[in-house]
Amino acid sequence: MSVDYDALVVGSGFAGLTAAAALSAAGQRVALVTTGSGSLVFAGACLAMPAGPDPALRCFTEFAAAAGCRYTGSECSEALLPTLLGELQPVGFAPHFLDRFEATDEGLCTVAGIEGLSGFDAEFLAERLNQVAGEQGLRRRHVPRTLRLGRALGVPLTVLAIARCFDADRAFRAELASQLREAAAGSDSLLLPAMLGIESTEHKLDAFERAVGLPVRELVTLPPSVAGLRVERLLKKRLHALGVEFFEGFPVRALRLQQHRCAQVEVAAPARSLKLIASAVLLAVGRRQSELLGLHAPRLDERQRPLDAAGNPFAENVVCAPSPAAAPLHTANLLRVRAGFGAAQSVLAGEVHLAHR
Amino acid sequence: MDSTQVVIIGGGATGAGLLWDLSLRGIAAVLLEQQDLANGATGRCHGLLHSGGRYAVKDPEAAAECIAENRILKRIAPHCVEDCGGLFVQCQGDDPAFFEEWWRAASTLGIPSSRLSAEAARALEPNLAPDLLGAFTTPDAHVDVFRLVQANMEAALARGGRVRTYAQVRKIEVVRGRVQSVRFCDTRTGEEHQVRCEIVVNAAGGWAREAAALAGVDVPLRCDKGTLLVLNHRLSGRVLNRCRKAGDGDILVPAGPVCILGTSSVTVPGPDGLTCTAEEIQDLLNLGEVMVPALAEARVMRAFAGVRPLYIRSGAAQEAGRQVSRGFVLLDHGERDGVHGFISVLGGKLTTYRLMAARAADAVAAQLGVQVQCSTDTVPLRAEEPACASGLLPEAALEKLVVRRGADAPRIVEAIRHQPVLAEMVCECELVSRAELDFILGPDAPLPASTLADVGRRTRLGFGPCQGTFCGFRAMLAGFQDHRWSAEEAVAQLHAYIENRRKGQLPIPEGKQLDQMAMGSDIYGLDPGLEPEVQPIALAGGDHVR
Repeated sequence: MSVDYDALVVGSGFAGLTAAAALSAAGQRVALVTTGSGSLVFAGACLAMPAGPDPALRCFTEFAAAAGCRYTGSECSEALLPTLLGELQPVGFAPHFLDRFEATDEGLCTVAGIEGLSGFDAEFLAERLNQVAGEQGLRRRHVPRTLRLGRALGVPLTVLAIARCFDADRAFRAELASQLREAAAGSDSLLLPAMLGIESTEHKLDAFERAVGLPVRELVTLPPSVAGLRVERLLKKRLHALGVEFFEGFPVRALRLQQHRCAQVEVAAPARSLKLIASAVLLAVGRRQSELLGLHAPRLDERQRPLDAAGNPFAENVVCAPSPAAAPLHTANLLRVRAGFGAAQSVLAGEVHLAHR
Repeated sequence: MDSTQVVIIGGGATGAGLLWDLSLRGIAAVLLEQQDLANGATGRCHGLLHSGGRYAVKDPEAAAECIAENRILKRIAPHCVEDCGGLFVQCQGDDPAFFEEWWRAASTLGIPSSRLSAEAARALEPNLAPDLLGAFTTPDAHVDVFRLVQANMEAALARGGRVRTYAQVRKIEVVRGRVQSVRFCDTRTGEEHQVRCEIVVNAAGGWAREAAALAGVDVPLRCDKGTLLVLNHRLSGRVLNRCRKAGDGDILVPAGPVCILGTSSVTVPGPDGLTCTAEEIQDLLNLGEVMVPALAEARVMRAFAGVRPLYIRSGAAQEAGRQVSRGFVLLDHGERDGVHGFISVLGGKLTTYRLMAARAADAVAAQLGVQVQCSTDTVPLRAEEPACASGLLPEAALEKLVVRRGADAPRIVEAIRHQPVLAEMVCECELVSRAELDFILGPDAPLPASTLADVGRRTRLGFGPCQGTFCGFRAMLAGFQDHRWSAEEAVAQLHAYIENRRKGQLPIPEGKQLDQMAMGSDIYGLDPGLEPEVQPIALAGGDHVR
């Protein structure tokens, strides 16, 4: 029978994007259905440190790097990332543009705030970081500066508004760079709330940094986080470039089964349902999973297929990336990456079986 | 030494009501509250303004008090009352003879009521059980308890009354059988203070026994715990009472976007350290589902509990919580214990707080030789709503500001005129602007706020769906920027705020709530404290739910 796709991934959080990347890398024709943003945009899209070498994590970080959003971190030691509250949070892997504390860092960091910016105060953060760093024997020092932007970007001023202006307006980027250069004169680095554009690639951020003249790092703010939005956008753009077809904006209404296979996925587009056909369906929908399957917290078999109460697979060709149980965010993100990767491997193994029939 | 005529111990509805009553009679009084507003039963109850229907059959005297006070409170404090009305619901399996008895009793008591068929009742309240037999309408209503207590206090402050929160009484000085002064400690600073007075009124509710002991007097109390659940939907538009002999889990009260199911009755050793088990919660839900089956689908956002302080009259030691009269008690310790100038007012319910306060004020006035009669039944707690400049805040936000702040609203709006950035909504759910927050945290606030939770009680910040996850942070930053707190103090504030919010939050397997808790912790870098299996569940007050 003719199908539209080899695999249909539902969901564009960490699990869905990782799954789509893994499937695409294996040469599959992939469609991604999503209502919009997933788990990435909550915060800074950071991942906990795995216990050892982790193929799922490697798949994700390679994918991110190819997308222009390099992740830094190591599998043997955690990095300390400052939070909005001035706490230092251990993290395994984080996007390169997020600030982190190095044990060897002895320099002076200018914490730059923006006048009128909601939810961020440079003096507060500088005072807190000095205190916390001191308590933990770290020697980086902080000094606050508050800039007044030369643009009226709305009241209240939000990082989203600034990010959009940053994306659209070269003159604004130049002005901002020059203001920051001046404000940070005499410092060794600069810390900003995450606001340097949603469309910024690593390349663009490097250029901005050169214009400022010293390392520029960002800090995750209250959601929606520009950091998370940026990562999500870059990853999706990469998937587009790899040939993944997106169906964005509408939820999956139902999985239509025929003889124990999912024959069709119905997407609730306006006016008319969109019906997508794929050899395999991969659900990475978090909490919506129970609703879509009509099964509450189903067990999965060794191929990550959900089982009904009688222990039979819901469908022969439907696999799940299970939603992590209660866990700190970065750990949950790592679990999602693994769940997506695992589900993708399962689809690929299934394809192999099909091919051999 | 500071001096006054009357010291009131306890900042719940009774104490606040008494402060207002005394101020109207020209009697100088200072209210000392060990924590913040309404920390005891007042802040931990249903917020139900009874029509008296619940007591009509078993306790007509209490019912008569209720319907009278119901009318009075709607008249003197309309801005504190959500006049949603109520239904007494005849459920399948409940005693039909009781329905008829109820109808007669309500009529005798003059409780306005009409009889509805099952269809008519379900047309009004679609979530009622399909097999219900009928219902009676009543004038029950929902009261914003924090606003009510504030309203009494602010009205009193404007007439010379004084309030000190975070003031824990340490000793009531009695010399030759007469009250002389009160020693108290500011729990934030540790500073000790003393105030000379002629009379001390013990309105400490669940802590009344401890308070009386400070004067060397024993007041035996049974603390009877009632647990309540906050559900994430407004499942009814009216107060729903099961029409039967009063029992557990038979009242559902709408409270803005949520509703509150209660309650239970369990004797506990005291008012502090209240907990509940998952079983107690499930029992409540099972009982509630008889009347409103949709409770089975609704998500419990949190549980909270308070104690009913029930005075143990000598000779009635072992009666169970429900049978002891809900009427209140006034003890003159001069007669009873030889400590003159010391009065305790105990028991009662929220609905009759004004009456309790009036009787206590009568006793105080008699002892002081003041002839002025009570007028709290007619003098409104708030004068007319002031006019504010429009166009500086969205209409909906301005309305809420005026309801919350009354006469202080115009100056808050003026602050926005001078600094437009102050229009920013710090709490988007409850529309609390930065300008209002600055006022609450500032020196001109009538009731100073010391913590983020205090701010919440005065503005409803954090009471909405986000439960303060993000607005708590913004409020904290405002406190730092306004120089109330250093960065370190500000962070400690947020820690304490988040910790307190966690109490009573239940481990729900599919809860968005768990995400929110986790998310909040991760963004801030705080220990998430995710321990879903911890039992029993520690409970706090009824904040953040209404």
